[in-house]
Amino acid sequence: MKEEVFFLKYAFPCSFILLDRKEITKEELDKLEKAVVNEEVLDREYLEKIYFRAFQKIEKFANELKKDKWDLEVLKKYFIEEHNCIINEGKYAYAKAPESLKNLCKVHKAKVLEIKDEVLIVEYDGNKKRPVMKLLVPGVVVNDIVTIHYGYAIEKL
Amino acid sequence: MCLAIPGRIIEINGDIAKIDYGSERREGKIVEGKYSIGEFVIVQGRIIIEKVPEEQVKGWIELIQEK
Repeated sequence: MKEEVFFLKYAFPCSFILLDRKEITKEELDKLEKAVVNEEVLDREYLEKIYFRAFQKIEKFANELKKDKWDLEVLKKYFIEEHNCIINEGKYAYAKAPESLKNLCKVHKAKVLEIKDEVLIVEYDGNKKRPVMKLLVPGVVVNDIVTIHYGYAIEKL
Repeated sequence: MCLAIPGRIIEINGDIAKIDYGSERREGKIVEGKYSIGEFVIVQGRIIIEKVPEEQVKGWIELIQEK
C-alpha cells in the first residue's frame, strides 16, 4: 500500500475534528472521504498541512528511529503503537483529554461480531463494544480482526 | 458544524436519535447499545459510536475547540 493511502486511512477519522475547528471545509472533508474510499494518492504536502498535528508527532518519532517520516514502516509503527503510547502517557493535548475522548482516539485491534448494513459491531479491549463504519473495509466478514479508530474500521489485519 | 463534539439526545424514535448541539440539531442512528434521552453521545458517519459521561463533556468541548 502506498504511504499516502495508508496515512489517510488512519488519519481520516480525525478530519471531523478539523472540520469542527474550521481548519478544513465541508467540501474538503467530502474530497478526503472520496480519496480515502478510492485509495487515491494525495499530495504529501497537502496531507502534512491538513494533518499537521499528526505530522508533528510522526516527524519526532521518525527522527528517533532515524528514518523518514513517510517511510511506511514508520507510519505503521506510529499508528499501531506510538500513537496509543502518546495518548496513554498524556502527551501533547492529551494531557487534558477526558477518558472517553482518549479511548476513541486510540487505535484498537477489534474483532467483528456482527455486520449491520454499512456498520460493523466490533469487540475490543476484552469486552468493550463499538459500532464502526464499514466504509474502509468493505470485504470484511464476522470474526475478522480489524483496527478501529474513532467511528471507522481502518484495515483488516 | 458540530460533528466531533458530544451532543445531547433530546428525542428517540425507533433507532433514530435526535441530538442537540446547542447551535444545531442532528440525527444519529443507534445500532448498538441502549441510549436514553438526556445522555451525551458522539456521532460519526451518521451513527452513534459512544456515550460520553456528562462530567467529561466540558473537557471534550475545550479540547476540540482549542486552537
